[in-house]
Amino acid sequence: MVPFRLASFWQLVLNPWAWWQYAHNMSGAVITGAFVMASVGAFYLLWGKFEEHGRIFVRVGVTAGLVASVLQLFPTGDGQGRLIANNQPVTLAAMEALFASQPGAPLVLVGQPNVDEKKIDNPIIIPNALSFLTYRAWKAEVKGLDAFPQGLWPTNVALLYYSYHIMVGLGTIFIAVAIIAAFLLWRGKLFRSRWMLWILLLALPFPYIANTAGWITAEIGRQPWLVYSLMRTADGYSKTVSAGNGMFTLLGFMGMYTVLGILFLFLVRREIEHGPEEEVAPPDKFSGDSFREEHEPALTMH
Amino acid sequence: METLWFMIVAVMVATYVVLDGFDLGAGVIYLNAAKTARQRQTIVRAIGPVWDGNEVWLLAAGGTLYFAFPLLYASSFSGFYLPLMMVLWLLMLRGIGIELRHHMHNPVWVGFFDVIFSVSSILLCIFFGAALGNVVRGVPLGPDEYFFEPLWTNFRVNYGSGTLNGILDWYTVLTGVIALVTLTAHGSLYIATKSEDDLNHRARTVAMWAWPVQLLLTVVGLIATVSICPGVLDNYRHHYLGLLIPVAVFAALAVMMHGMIKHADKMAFVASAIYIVAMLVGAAFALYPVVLPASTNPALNLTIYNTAAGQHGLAVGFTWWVLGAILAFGYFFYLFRMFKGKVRLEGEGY
Repeated sequence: MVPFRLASFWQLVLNPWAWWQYAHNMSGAVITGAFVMASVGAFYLLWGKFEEHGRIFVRVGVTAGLVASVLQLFPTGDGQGRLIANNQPVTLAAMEALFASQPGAPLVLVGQPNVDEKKIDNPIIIPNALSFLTYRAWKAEVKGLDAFPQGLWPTNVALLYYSYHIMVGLGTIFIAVAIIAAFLLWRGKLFRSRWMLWILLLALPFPYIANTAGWITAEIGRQPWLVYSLMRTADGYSKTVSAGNGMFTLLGFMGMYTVLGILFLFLVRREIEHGPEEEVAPPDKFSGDSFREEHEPALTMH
Repeated sequence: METLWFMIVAVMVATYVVLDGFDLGAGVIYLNAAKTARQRQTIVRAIGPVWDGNEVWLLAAGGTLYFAFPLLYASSFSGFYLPLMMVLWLLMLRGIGIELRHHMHNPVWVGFFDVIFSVSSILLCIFFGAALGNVVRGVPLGPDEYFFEPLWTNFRVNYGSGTLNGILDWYTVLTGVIALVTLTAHGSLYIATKSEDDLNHRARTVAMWAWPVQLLLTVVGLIATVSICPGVLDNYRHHYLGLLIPVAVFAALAVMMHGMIKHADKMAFVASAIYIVAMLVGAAFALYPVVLPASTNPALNLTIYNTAAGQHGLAVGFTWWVLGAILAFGYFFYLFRMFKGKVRLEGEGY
């Protein structure tokens, strides 16, 4: 295989896709931060402790969450979607589980892709919506998976479809939650609307899930390529690493992250219940990282 | 251009070993040198503001390797897959040990994370030394430029005998022990510069005990290296200037001892840093222009020429590396100035 060489530094850095992806990532991060903040604030308000901080957390979290979740859909998500339609049409078809090319392609809201029979089971659809979102024309022709040889399809169409739909579905829900919460905030009713505070509280895990699903979408979506249309994944793995070695380290990572995850939940729960007020500790009990503790959650993972 | 990048990678690796070396060494002596909770806390605070920054040099060196010599990166990261994953786990455990001990209110768990921190530091020193040993000794590169080594086979250096070399054989275990002793002394001297009274005394005593072992192992290591790969002397034969390197190694050892006797901890610490740099420069000088020798056939050696990235990339990268290096060195200068002097437990923060 011919090694790849850098031809133009500026074309690499100014690759438009990189910037869309970067912006999409960053606003996803802000959504996570904002929703976690709002969630902790809602917890304090429902609990009736640290309410002054709780109100600040909810106000900042909901405001930032509204801005970021709208930016996540438009322009950053939309921009990426059209890049995929133009550059990786087979990925778009698989993400939407659009098996047959058609004018006026529908948008599938819910449904289970049946890859063997090339159809969607139990579909709930919006007619023509996919054509409009992709080409800004209700009757535009969208290429389905049948337009491409199966060797070019992403290797796991069903997982790609689900991860993409989980990401987009949750993203839509974030916008709805943020709009309603922001409206209540504007009307001055949010801090007394216990049902809305409960929704904000329980929203906590979902931005993490949406971000992970988005990542899976990007990585599964570009299969079977490691470098799109230039180098296949099958040509890129380490041939001297046996599958047994790979499984050993996979199990090792799973074990380590399970332990770390449990520790993380335990420590974060304790920090949250401890509350935001500064504990006046004797200096020799407090032994480190004061700077870091202010800026990061209790545990960082590299 | 390839030579320039060889030197850059060498400088970054040396910077990493000198910087992370002292906090690894501090972890090695942590359980033994620090007898009280306050002493343990002093050690953690001495490395607290800097250990993670120091570790970034490893990432930066790896990234530079990936950028400048992609084939070397691909070959060595495939061949050393399992040990590298173990290094990653140890680095994770060490970070967890340092960070989580602060969050534990119960002394039982503080003690648990102390042990995690110290044991992973000890193992990391040995792993890094063994890794360097593998690079000097050579690996069984095939014609496809890749190789596989099991973690161990029969602990012999098997050149041309048909048996696979293990990652651990007597030679690489020796280099692992050299690294452990060297970094123990290095870390002890760092802690000595940052502490007072009892801990200062204990840390210096550890380094004093390590010193004769370090001297002995340096000599044994040199003899062992020359005996298993005589080719390491070639560059020294052609460029007599290289002979300054072993002179620097032994001079640094002498200054270390002098500093320890005089209780001039800073002098001893700087000498230890110079010793480490001289040892690494000596290895790099002997290898150049080879970056991964083949134990199978010298014609299969990976060199800076057959592994380098394209010329345009190397040239553009150099511009950006200089900018990045200015920022990084400036940051470290500022960081170490901010936390200079002895650690005091009174007051907020570190």
